[in-house]
Amino acid sequence: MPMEAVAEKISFSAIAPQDIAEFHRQRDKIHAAVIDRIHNTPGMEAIAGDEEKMRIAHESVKILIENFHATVKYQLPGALLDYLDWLRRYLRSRDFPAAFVASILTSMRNGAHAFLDEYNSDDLGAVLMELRRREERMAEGGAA
Amino acid sequence: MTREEQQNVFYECLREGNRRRCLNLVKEWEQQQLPDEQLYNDIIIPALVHIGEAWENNELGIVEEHVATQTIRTILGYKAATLTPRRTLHRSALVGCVPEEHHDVATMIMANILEKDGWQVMHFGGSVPRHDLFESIRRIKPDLLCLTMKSIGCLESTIELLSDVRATLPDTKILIGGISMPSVRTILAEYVDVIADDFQQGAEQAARLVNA
Repeated sequence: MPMEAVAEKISFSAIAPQDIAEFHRQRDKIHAAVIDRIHNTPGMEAIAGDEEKMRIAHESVKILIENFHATVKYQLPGALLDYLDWLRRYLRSRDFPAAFVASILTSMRNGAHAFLDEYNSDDLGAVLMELRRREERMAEGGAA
Repeated sequence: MTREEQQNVFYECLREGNRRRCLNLVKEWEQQQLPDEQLYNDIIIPALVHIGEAWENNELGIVEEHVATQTIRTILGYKAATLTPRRTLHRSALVGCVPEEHHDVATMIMANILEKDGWQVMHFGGSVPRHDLFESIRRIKPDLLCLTMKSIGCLESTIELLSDVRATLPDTKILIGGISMPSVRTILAEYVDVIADDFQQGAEQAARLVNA
């Protein structure tokens, strides 16, 4: 199925430009928060204790945050879902837990709420929650 | 050897990391008059795609994937060193990746194709910061700026670059390739003269842009 058809279910239109710009400015802090959560989440011990897996996790989180910013800014949900599908397959081939991408999205949502002090993180958070739910369905082998 | 057999034998040699055999295959097919465009489109690109998939699926390590990529670079360097331009256009082309993009093999192919078509090619590859790229474009003032983009994360810096180039050098034509997603193409269409679907079409449209 063309990815852009699937993407119709997710919209970025509620997110204000200044909020995604602030998310981008705070990307290093959000990245650090996501990595920190990997170290402190039950079920993620196998990743936290594996140097190579943590290297992959760092890189994946960095690129996901960059791609989230670019695709929200330019209203390209299809491109983000395409990347998430690739990331899920890639991480699965590296023996990451099925729930890993959903966990990253949850951490990004928490990070957005924590670091977008004077900006609205609710709409960003709602989209990240929607993406997390989609990831959970996909991880369970369901449809998008 | 059928095209499928050529693809298979080249891919197997590439996957084994047999650089010498890959190069010899290319020379052998050259003697059999295999057109460069067919070598690039039908053999090299599919092989690289398969190598990339094997890496994604953890069937190949990162070193093996880099060995394959370096072998392709060697072949494309050989093709660049031995090509004979079919004409002289007296037009300059600056060829490389959009800012921050690392996947530069396609730019090597495009540089070879444009040079063969008579362009004076300057090829900078990938991983260049936006500011530096813009400053160089402003100094060089190429007739054609030919870029490739793969990673969606590069979109913002690409749009900033293209806006600056449009405002500063209105006579420089801009061609971009490597973009398959319709929505991304729609956004970029505003900033470029051509979005190319493949190498050959890109070269033909580039020549048309400068009335060559």
